[in-house]
Amino acid sequence: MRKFIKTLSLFVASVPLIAARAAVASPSEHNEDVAPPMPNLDPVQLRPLNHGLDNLFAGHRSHASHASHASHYSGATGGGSNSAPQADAPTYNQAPKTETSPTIPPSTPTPVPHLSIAEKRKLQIMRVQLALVSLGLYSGTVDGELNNGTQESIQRFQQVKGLPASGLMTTDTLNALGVMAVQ
Amino acid sequence: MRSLSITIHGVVSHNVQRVTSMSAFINEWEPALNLLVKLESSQEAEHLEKLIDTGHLVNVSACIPNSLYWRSTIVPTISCDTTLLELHDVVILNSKKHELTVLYRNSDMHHGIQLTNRCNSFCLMCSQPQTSHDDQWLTEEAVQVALHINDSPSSIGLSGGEPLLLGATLRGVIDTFNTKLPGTNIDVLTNGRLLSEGAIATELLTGINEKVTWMVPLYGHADFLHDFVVQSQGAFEQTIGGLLTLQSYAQPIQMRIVLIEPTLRVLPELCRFIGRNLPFVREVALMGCEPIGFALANRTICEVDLVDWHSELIDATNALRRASVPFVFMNTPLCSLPNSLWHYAHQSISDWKRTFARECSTCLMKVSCSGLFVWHSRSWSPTKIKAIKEEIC
Repeated sequence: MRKFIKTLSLFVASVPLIAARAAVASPSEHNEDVAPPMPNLDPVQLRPLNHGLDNLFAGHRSHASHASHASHYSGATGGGSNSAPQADAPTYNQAPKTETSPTIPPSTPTPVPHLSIAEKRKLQIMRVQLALVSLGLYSGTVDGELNNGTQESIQRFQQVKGLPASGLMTTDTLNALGVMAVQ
Repeated sequence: MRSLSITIHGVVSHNVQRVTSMSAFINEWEPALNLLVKLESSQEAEHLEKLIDTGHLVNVSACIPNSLYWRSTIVPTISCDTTLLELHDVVILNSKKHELTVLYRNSDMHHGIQLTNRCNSFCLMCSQPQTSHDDQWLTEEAVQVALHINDSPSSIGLSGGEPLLLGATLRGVIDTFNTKLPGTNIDVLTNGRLLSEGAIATELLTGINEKVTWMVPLYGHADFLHDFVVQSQGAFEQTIGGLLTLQSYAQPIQMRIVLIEPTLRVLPELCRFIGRNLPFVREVALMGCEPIGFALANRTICEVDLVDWHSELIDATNALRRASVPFVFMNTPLCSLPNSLWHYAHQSISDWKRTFARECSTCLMKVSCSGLFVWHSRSWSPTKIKAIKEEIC
């Protein structure tokens, strides 16, 4: 938060400077169509995508314990048409219907999906892998394993971005990739 | 339910899907979700195809505008008028009908999910006539909708049919919504009859989250009145039992009265009965009849001009006010109510089935009016619609 306030105050402090420079620059250019030099910054966007504490998996290098982890994700089921077949309408003078005993299906409460920490980690790695694929830095499988190929790709990305090339999903790396940390 | 026609290229999924955009795709993707990515250009399409191909993603389809020609052997694709789809709509495809149905749209004012089409009552004005088929897939679909909703709406209605027929499964559905959408109030539309049975009540209500409101109808203050309207013997006793059960579990109740001839005739007495015997209800909703379903078959008693019943409405609402029971009017255009009750009228008709008459264009009160059901033009409206020329409120 303090860092954010500092960034914001720096930005606010620089506004008059930028504006003054713009005022000096514009008379000499004589061009009305030039976009104003004042960058159209949205202060809200100064907040990084993920803060340090959002990222649960910044330092996990070893994945040996997860190697045999079987996925618990279940595919979706169900579906079908939405049309309701017609029923016979009761008429005004119809005698009240006698009660038919309601049928209650066996109790099968629906399981509420809950991601375990291992599944969250796997999902976060998958998203990082997808982001790397879309940048053309990774061409392996999107399997949620922080394997050598993935780490090398992360390192390559970190080098391009001038970040410490650790090959780990650090918060800065996630922010640069535009990947939201899985919480 | 909104539907739009689609053209299908390849084999598409018939599961519930969430509409997303290419920019949000990576951050929304997870194996348990089915995503329908709305593509704007062929660049986006190629980008998506590359991700799906490299990642072997099986739960992703694409949706392209009719104007874009793009075919893929990898990505199941549909084309449609994509301007009609909003980001984070929850949709389902029907390849037989070449149709896409929007099951949930976040920008709607009202959200409803149908859990079953079966019912144990047979109401004279039922807007959604029951069927006796096994429709468990509707429950499964509802759960899938809960998992695919991206933003928590303020409230969502679970309706039927009669949801209590699902027994413990209903509790599972409610719990899924509560867990997945913790900020959302859940409204269950039920006749409450099965809650008079101890076993079902215990199973359903023990330890239930307080964010559930039960919307229960009552159409008379004596058994033969209520039983006639719902066309089921013994329903009055059961509904009253259900209401008392709900109260014993401290559950909020909205009592619903549909304004058709048999209920309007006893409305003041019914409201006095509620004020005296069921004063714990959170509110009473007095609802205009939806002119569809069985109401069309029983038109002689369902078609009423509310203007003819103003004295009963005033009498009934006075009784509720005296008993300090709050009340609201729903599905009632302002011109069908006495001025003194305008304040209580809600804009209750869901966006996708609301319309206005030609007369409404000059009405000063249109912005705060419930409007009409779209099917009124094929049937009837709650009164002769007229424009209101002076603002009183």
